[in-house]
Amino acid sequence: MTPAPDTFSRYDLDSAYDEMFEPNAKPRAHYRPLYERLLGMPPEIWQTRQEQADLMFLNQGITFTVYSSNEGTEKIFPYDLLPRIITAKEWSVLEKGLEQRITALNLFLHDIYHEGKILKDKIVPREMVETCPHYRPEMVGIDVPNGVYVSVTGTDLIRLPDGAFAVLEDNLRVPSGVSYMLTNRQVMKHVFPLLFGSYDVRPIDHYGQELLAALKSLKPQGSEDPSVALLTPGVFNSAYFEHTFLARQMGVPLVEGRDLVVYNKRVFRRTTNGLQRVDVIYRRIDDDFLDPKAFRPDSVLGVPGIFEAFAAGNVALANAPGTGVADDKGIYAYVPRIIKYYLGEDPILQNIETHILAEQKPREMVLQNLDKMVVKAVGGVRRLRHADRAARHPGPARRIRLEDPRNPRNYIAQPTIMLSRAPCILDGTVDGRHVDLRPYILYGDKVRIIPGGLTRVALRKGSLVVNSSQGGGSKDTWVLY
Amino acid sequence: MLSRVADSLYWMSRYIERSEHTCRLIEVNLKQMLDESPEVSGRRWERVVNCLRTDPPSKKDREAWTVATWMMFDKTNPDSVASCVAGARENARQVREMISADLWETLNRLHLYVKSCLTDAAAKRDPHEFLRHIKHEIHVLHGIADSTVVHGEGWMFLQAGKNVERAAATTALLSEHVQDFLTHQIGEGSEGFLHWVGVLRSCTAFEAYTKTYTAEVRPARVLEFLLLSPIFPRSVRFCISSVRRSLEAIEFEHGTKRGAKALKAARRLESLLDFLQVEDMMDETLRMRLAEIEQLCGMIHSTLEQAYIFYENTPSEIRGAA
Repeated sequence: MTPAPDTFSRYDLDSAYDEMFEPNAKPRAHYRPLYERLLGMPPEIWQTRQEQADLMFLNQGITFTVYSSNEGTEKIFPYDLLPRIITAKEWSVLEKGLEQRITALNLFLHDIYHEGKILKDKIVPREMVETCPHYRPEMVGIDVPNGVYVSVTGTDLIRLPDGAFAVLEDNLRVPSGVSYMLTNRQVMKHVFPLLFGSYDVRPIDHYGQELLAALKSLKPQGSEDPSVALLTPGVFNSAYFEHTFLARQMGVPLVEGRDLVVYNKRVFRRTTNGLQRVDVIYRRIDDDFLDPKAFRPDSVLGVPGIFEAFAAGNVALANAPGTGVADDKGIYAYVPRIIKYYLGEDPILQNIETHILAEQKPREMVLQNLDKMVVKAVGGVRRLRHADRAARHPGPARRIRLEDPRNPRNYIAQPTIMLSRAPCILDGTVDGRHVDLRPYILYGDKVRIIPGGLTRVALRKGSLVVNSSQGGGSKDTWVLY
Repeated sequence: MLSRVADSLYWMSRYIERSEHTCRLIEVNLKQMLDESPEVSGRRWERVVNCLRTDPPSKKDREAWTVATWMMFDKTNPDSVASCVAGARENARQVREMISADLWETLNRLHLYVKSCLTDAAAKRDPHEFLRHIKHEIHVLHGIADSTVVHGEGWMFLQAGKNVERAAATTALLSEHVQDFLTHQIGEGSEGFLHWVGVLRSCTAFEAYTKTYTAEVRPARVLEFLLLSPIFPRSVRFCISSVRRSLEAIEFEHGTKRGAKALKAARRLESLLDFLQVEDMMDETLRMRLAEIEQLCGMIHSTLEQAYIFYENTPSEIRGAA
């Protein structure tokens, strides 16, 4: 069957990997049923389905907060109707690769906050770790429950032109977006039940249960049935919907800093029946604001004394403070070596090719090829995230800063990256847009990965920026049996 | 249950109740205006504003439309329908994980509706549709809450909020009308009939009243019905009995006596109502009694908040093994 002239007329194939089409413009086998449905479906139907979907998000109040505007501060996250489909074979590689990576990063965190073997062996420069703004000297020598620092990860993956998945960023602090993964699925089942039924898609609805199991496994000693709470910065946080959503999915109380008090290095929540003990806290507040006594003293969102209770082993915090050092841009470049060091294995998922400018040889190479590179400042300093932005900041200005010997932690450089393209419905036709993928990895007693993830879409044609604050949207992600 | 959550549930419920009551009061008075004689018209909107215990910015302007619009759409007025619906929704948003998805969605939809009306001139020209829609949606909301929300502790705070608000609003309404009655001697005849039917309708009580007393509308009977009926869901006594039962249920669930003061205030008001004889005191005594009832409603509210929500953080509050 050839594409109907209208349906795919605007769909261009170029050097980026296309999720739906082979380079010869034939649909890939796992996209064929979707492709045929699209050809047989009049655009008016897309229109009504899109309206149905948008209304579901709006009525359910599935919104994120836009800080700048005043009235209408809640916006829905644009939802694209077409699913992104991942085969069982592709997924099994991702699954193994993510488990390997998270296991190694967790061992790395334990090591740098204890003996620091990897630093002594000079695999990772000590200075790179200790000058990272997310490194927490307060964590040195503290034993975390099960030795697990990172209980929830949302790893950003992209697909390179050859079709291989690569890690763009490890989000090891407070990754968000999982509520969109779950609600996108609910909406999909509502607006395209037949299409959904025609595929064998692995379920993801048990995420809440798995998260709760992971959190409960972190219980402090002596607590039989641990009391779990989700700590939110409050209703004005952009991810507040997600916090309420997850609390509901798990059936645990959603608490704010003002609901918690610390007595005698133990954490309690203020209830209608007095103060009740809390054992495990899934905190969605950044380290900086977690405890005004331990970190930023001006934080009004946090709980004074909670870090001390954590250090005493009386409450578990997920994720543990100080995990940000392992998702730092500078450390990122070392992750393949970190995996090799702790596990003796080659990385299953590749990194984006990254040059560490603190090292002399790569620096010379990069300085000679600046026009082909995206240079990223490491940690703390404002980051130049994507090719889009790099293009707006031409070379010379950066060259000066790169050569500035006062920059202690220097920069990394990566070749201009390309994201894969997936079909989206836009203005009554099917068009290609660049996408990434954020699967969610849970780690309590063991690593659990939910077969799916959040596929973010750069809705502007040609754009590589998928962030919700800058014109990004999302779509349902199907992992097939 | 978290104190903050209990507080939000309580206030969500109060705001919903207040929106509905305000809608009904405006609707009844807009309709009654059509039948009124010129001499009473001047007092009408002054009284509406007083019944709602609120205060418009312009003291002199009691023109019907000005007051009605201010009470319905003005977001700078914290007591307007628009503000109350937004307040209910904002409280619900903060406890979304505690109420059912259905309840949240219905309330959120109502909020979106009110918001769309604020910028819609056509909606403002047809306030009856606006008022009807809100009242209807709130009735739906009560039904959804009843059949989808867990009837545990949170439910008790929802019920307490609704009934404290209702009892206080009905008392305020009666208080203002008694005041008017004593000053202007509005009694029998068509004017009196319309006046007291208006009072009944403001509490959706007309039909219920006629089933007890027939359509013979007498001031003392209206007052007796709205204050003391043990079976009419908006009578003060009915509401206070319900508040008392909610408080008892909370205490039972906790197995403590932390709400003792609130419970005592509720029981005190309940027994006051038990022994009230309206017929014998259609004079200044009644006005004073109503003031006392209103004050006790306020006391139930403040003691409840003190016991469950704003208590001090002290080690003596720690439950279980510390």
